[in-house]
Amino acid sequence: MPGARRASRRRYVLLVIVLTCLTLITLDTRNGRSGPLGALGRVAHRIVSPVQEGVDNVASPVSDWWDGVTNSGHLKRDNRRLEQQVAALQGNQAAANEAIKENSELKALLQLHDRLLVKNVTGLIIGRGAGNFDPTLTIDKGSETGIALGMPVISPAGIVGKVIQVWHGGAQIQVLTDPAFSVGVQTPGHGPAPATTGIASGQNGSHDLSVEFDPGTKVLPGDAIVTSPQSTLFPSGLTVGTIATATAQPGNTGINATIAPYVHLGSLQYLIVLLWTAGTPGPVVATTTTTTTAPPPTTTTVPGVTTSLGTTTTTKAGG
Amino acid sequence: MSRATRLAALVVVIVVTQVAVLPHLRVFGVVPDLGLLVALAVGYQDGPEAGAVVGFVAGFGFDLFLETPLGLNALVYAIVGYGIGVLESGLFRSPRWLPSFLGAVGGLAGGLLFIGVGVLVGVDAVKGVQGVVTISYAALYDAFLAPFVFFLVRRVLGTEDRVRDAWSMR
Repeated sequence: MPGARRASRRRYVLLVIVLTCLTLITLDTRNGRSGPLGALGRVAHRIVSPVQEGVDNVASPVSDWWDGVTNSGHLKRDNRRLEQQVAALQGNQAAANEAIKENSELKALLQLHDRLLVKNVTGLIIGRGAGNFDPTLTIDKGSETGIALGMPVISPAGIVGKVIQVWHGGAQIQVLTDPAFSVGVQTPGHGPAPATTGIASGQNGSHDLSVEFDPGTKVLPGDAIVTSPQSTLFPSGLTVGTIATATAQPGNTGINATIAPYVHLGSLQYLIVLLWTAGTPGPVVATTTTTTTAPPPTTTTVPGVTTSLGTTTTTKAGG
Repeated sequence: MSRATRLAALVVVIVVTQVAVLPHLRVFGVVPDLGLLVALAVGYQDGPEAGAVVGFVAGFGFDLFLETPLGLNALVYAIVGYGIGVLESGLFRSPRWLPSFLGAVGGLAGGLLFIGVGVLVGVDAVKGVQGVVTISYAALYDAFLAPFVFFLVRRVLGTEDRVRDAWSMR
């Protein structure tokens, strides 16, 4: 009988735990992290952030070495590919020199920080998604600098994501490749074909964003995509990426496209959080031309290597 | 220091390690589930009830740092910790490779449960084949680390080695 009682107690404990978990999941899914549970999370982040920062400082060289060990197969393939690229570059030195010259000229335009028209905070990345399904970044600046939930996060290359959690001393960033992330985007116009907008979102197992445009939209691979003037969550005119693929849906009901983001999340060290609240009208990047649609971003292309320098223009003010 | 205090300290260390250290030690882009391994080890050493409670606490602690719904890892770790405890009571043999085996099976079961519940509550990141590939790699990583975590938990609990010579009868 004691054995049966013990088994019954075990099942009772498991039942209580399962019900507690389901309640937590429901509360979190419905209300987000704004209540006491969110406060608990922010406290936990605040406590662990210094540890993360310390470990990040110490572990970065180790991490690079570890990446080299665990990705040696990729490195060999990359090495072969790069050798071919070097050979191609040597055979086309004039074009490369021209590209380098153009690159150096356009680097002056990369002073994104100086061009920003809104207050912003530069943060150092101190943590990257702790779980296997957690594509987030953690930075060392938080509510004490004015960062709040939902604020856009960018890098000189383009948008990175948005703030999804903030505490004193740090903030968590949802990156644009997260399937739960979405942003309004705009294509450039092609002659008589006007610019059009769509909602881009991250995809599982891919670094590209997916977007669906209305039928009849003219979208070409390589088109520069910027945030849409209709977007209320992001300022308009921020660079997102370029169209990688564009295919018409069966029955011509729309166009499915993928966007290769300019930003390479793995190589980022610093991020800029725009202290911009959703719905604020007006551009956030200083205008350098008077065009009304975003032209293709200024790119420097050498065989096999493309460096995006971000757009040098902004669209009309939009909300 | 009491057993419970030592175990609580271990869970804190494990969660901090998971959050601050393991993201730097990804293999094929995945991290192991240290909290799950602790739940497995405690469930194996101390029975299903302890496995479930420790799994819940470790999972909840980890959940505080994740974008996924709070309570999702707590649920998964608790169920897997409980399940291993129940399974352990039916084992006649405890070969030395058992921790690695339990780490792999527990990691895979926990991963599948995470995906299943995740899909139900609308976690987009777990959907698709990529999610299964990720948990498969993570389960292998768990299998590699399991003997160390089992050893650590055994020391913390102060229990004798239940993983004895291969094929010994208990």
